[in-house]
Amino acid sequence: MTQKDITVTNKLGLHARPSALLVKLANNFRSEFHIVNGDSEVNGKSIMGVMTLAAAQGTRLTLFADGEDEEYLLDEVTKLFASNFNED
Amino acid sequence: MESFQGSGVSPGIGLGMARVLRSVASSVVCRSITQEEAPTELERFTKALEHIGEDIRLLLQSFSFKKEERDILNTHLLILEDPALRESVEKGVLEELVCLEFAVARYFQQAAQIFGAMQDEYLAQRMADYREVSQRLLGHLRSDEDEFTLDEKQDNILVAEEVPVALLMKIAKNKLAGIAVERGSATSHAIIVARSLGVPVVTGIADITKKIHEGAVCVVDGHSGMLAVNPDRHTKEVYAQLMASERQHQEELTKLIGVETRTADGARVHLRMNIENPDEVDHVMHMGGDGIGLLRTEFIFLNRSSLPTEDEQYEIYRTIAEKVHPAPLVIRTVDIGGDKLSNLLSLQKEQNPALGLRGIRLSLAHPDLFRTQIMAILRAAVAGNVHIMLPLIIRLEEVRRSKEIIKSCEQELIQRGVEFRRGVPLGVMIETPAAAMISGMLARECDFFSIGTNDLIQYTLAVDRTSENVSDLYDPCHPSVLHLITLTVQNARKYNLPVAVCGEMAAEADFIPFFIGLGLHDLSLSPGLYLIAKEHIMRTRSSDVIDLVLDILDAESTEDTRKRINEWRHKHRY
Repeated sequence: MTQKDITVTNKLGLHARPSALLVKLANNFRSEFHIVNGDSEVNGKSIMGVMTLAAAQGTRLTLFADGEDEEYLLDEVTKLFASNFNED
Repeated sequence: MESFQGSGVSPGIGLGMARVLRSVASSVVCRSITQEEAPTELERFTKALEHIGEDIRLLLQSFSFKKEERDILNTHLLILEDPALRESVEKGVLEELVCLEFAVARYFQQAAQIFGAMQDEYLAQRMADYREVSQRLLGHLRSDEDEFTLDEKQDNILVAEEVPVALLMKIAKNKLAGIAVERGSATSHAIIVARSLGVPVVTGIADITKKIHEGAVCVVDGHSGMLAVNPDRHTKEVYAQLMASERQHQEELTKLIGVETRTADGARVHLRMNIENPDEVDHVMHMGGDGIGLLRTEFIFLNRSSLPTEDEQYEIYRTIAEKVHPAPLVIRTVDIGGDKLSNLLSLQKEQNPALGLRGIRLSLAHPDLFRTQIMAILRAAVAGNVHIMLPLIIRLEEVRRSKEIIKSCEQELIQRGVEFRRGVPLGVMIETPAAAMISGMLARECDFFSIGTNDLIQYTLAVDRTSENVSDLYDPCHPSVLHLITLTVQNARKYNLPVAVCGEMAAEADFIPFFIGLGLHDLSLSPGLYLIAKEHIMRTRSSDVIDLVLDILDAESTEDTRKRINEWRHKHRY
């Protein structure tokens, strides 16, 4: 299991579009993927889960990946966050 | 006859027989199943997911949908394949022994509650996506083949609670004359899709699926928002006429394709197009036009994990230049802020990217990036009539530095023994008040100007036109805007510099006479506005616009400007 802290930097936060991009990306990997925001933990491969996080700009999240490609998953997800989901 | 007043959210007029799409979610009954039946129920679920998922994937492959439409379909896929849905259904069917339809309906109802409670507007709108997938899935389960179709023998008016987006993309569009729904805002995805299909839509009619009977003759007026059911003869005639004149107008516009653009008295106007994607080039070629007045190059730099190479860029520019040759291709160097490239360049976060390190500033601060783009353009210029344009210029210094860099790039290309064109025309975008006011100085050191009206208006009036709070302050009729444009044109004229107008203003009937009156005969705008603009230009008589410019520049306010324009238009039946 690997984990990583990340901050939501894009202006509108994790609204529908970035959520969809994130879930789509995560589902390409075999590892389990969970996201924790304070008290709530969601399945990062579930669109319902990620959208209910509704993480606004500035929110700090912890990402957990567990499986054979866990590091690769976290790398790619980090890149996606860093690119601000290609917005603004 | 009955008539209902809603909101017109997609223009046009449609006449047809009502085809009513009734919501299935409300009619799901909870039935309990036995332990033995449970696996079979689950099997039905798996099959339904596969079938609908396959349908959506096929749609994504076989039609060339716009990005927006593909996004919607992709979201539907994610909703369908969400592990949360499967878990919830499995729990219901295997543990609680309820029937599949109930388990599915319950999950979606819960989803609706969660989204409904959300503050975020974007997420609240996702409810519509969830509802649609729910309908689709439940509809599929009720009858084992996919549900709703139009009557192919006649024109249909689709009546539903909401515009069913995925369904819309599937059904026979030539038989869909209009849509009338209970809810859906003008900016919702579904309505955007309907608009792009040219289907008139009226929304906001309460309980519509209960009020309209299957097969009733309906008229949908997407302009006024009116829905007429079983229209009387008079109404029918009025609408038939409106539809006929709309159709005629469309046909007339199509006849303008390929015709050389001239004013009513024969003065030649160069009408070019702005594009941001190589896919648009074929469409541009089809419409004719006098070339590409603006190739936005941002797309080459976005959505990437590394900066585009010189060869990559060269291929893109060369292909387009060849296609439009001998008409010009004006390539604008990259105009984005550091915020969009932060993963490729190590940059500090800015509070205000629109006014920060973007456009020419970014290029000059990152000479490697700039040089790569310039060299690619110089090489591509061998294949066609290529021009370079610099964005967000405010200082002469920026132009001088750019010219030095171009010269140095030419030397490097010579050393490398690579073919390129010398003396590629270099122009600037006049899109800031600063640039407009020093346009005299800039004119001496450039080969052409392009007045970027969209941004010029924003920067001059200090208004963010995407902000709903102030968007009505964004008004091209403000005297400052027109005076800055006039000043720019006058300075260009002094130095015999070609000057073009680039932006939405170039397409508007309110301003085309003004531009022609100023002596501007180079306009560039989006392909969607091309034919309308051409139509306006061809109706403009140069002799009529002589006094217009002076009159407008005398106006004392935004309202006064508009008043004078309207008076002119009325007087000249324009």
